[in-house]
Amino acid sequence: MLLKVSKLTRYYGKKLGIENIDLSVSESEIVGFVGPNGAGKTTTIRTIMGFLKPDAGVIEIFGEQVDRKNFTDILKSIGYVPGEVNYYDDERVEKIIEFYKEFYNDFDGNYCEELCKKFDLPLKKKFEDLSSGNKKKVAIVQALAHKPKLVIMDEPTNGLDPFVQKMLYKTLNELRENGVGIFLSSHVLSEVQKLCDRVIFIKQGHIIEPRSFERDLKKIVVTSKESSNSNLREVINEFSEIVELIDENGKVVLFMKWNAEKFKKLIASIDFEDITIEDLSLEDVFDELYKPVDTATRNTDEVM
Amino acid sequence: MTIFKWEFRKNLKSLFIWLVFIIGIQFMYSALFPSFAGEGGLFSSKMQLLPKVFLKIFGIEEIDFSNIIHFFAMQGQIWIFLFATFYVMRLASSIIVKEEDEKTVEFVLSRPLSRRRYIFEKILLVTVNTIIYDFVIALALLYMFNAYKTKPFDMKQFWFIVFSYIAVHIFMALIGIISSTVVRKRATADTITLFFLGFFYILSLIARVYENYSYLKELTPFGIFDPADIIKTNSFNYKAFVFVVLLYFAGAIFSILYYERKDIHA
Repeated sequence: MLLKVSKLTRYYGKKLGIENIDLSVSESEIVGFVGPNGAGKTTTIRTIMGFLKPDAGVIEIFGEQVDRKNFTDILKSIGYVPGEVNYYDDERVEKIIEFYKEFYNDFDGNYCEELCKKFDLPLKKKFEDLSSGNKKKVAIVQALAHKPKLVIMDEPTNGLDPFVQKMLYKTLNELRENGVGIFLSSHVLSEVQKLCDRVIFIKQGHIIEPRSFERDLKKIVVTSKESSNSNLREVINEFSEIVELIDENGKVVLFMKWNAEKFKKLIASIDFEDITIEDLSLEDVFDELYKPVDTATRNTDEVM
Repeated sequence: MTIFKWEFRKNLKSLFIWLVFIIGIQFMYSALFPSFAGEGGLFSSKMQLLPKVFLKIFGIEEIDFSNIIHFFAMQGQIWIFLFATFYVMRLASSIIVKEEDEKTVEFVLSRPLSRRRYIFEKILLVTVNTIIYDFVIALALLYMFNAYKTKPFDMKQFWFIVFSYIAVHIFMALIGIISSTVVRKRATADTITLFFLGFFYILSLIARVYENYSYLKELTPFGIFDPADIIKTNSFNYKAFVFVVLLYFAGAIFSILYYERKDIHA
């Protein structure tokens, strides 16, 4: 296990930051960390990185419980991309890279150069003159060039253009193949779904478990004439496998515990113009976990 | 020494500018000195016509204007003891907090570098720059005094004055370092340090002007290391100097220990 966090708790005065956070990252694993703004993602990451003192809980990195004495050594093998990249504005990127190199004894200059080329870093430009995307690229190169075993990234693709995003995904996949563990927080759910082996959800400072993932749910979108909608509702009430129903722009979205026979029975008993079946996306899970309370739903308690 | 080298390079320009400025001012005063001294006792007698309070404020009641060290004790207390302190004060009060204020601290503290080492190298930078600053000023003064003196001056008094302004500078650097460690905003650290600079200077003026409050000079480095007093008494408070140096080390240790436990809110 590269990273194991148990019961991590951090308050800001009396205000809750995070509480009883448990998470882990293994070798060759990309773990996504998802939650809305203010949920506690950055607090968790900044506490793991030692910027904030935890009020309670244990952080183990590379099998060692982190304390002030061993953290310097541990940091040699950690790469970190902050959510907001603020490096030295009045310095050229190449100077910042040189400064960064000096912290590592066995620094592979060729690999660093390769990454600089790969991400097309504007080495001669002053940091203050860079776009937010280019700033992020500098941060990414500095998180990876010393060949860390564990990479922690807070919103790594914020500001990156699609081309560089793809480059980053490719690089992260290569790192995973080489045994590196990656823990990344993101708002881009499609990115997390595509990239991550596992997703951890955080809400109001607590880790939450989406039960829908475990239940093999399918998302069924039914388009029908408005007059048929009431009939549709009556019919689906008879199906205990249907755990949720949402009206969405004239369509009815059903979440159904998958059973092919029941599904055939369902479509035989309703009047529809079109019907699609999809695997549950991360976005659906996100909606399930973070949707406002007043959304028209049925059997919500069952899902949550 | 990665942090030290980085900071040294970044702060070299301001060190150079301040040195040019302070030495330039001193050069101007030193160049004027022979004309003051040439007037013989005329300038001294004219000075005695000024209000007593004015003479007390500048500590020039018993100054011999034909002696370049005495002349320096008058103007140097403003330019070297007070004004030149701004450089040291600004350097110290920004050295740690600026990384939090400008949010560059995450870059540094995510590297394999202990916070203890990080702060140690920052404080070392302040110490080294202060020493360079003060000794370059001292050497420049020595050169100028020798170039413009009208009669021999007491070298012992010269070094007493040099170590006096060093004491004032490191005392203010200490306040700067502690503020820089404890607060989160650079402006706050600057304000705190500036407040103490003003407070201690005003305290020394009160002690000079009002005899009833003369004891106050023992509470401020501007009083303890007053160049006018050094000229008058031909003595230097060694104990106070050692105390200030020890206080500086104690403050540095406090800053290191405090920063090791500090939350970094970048």
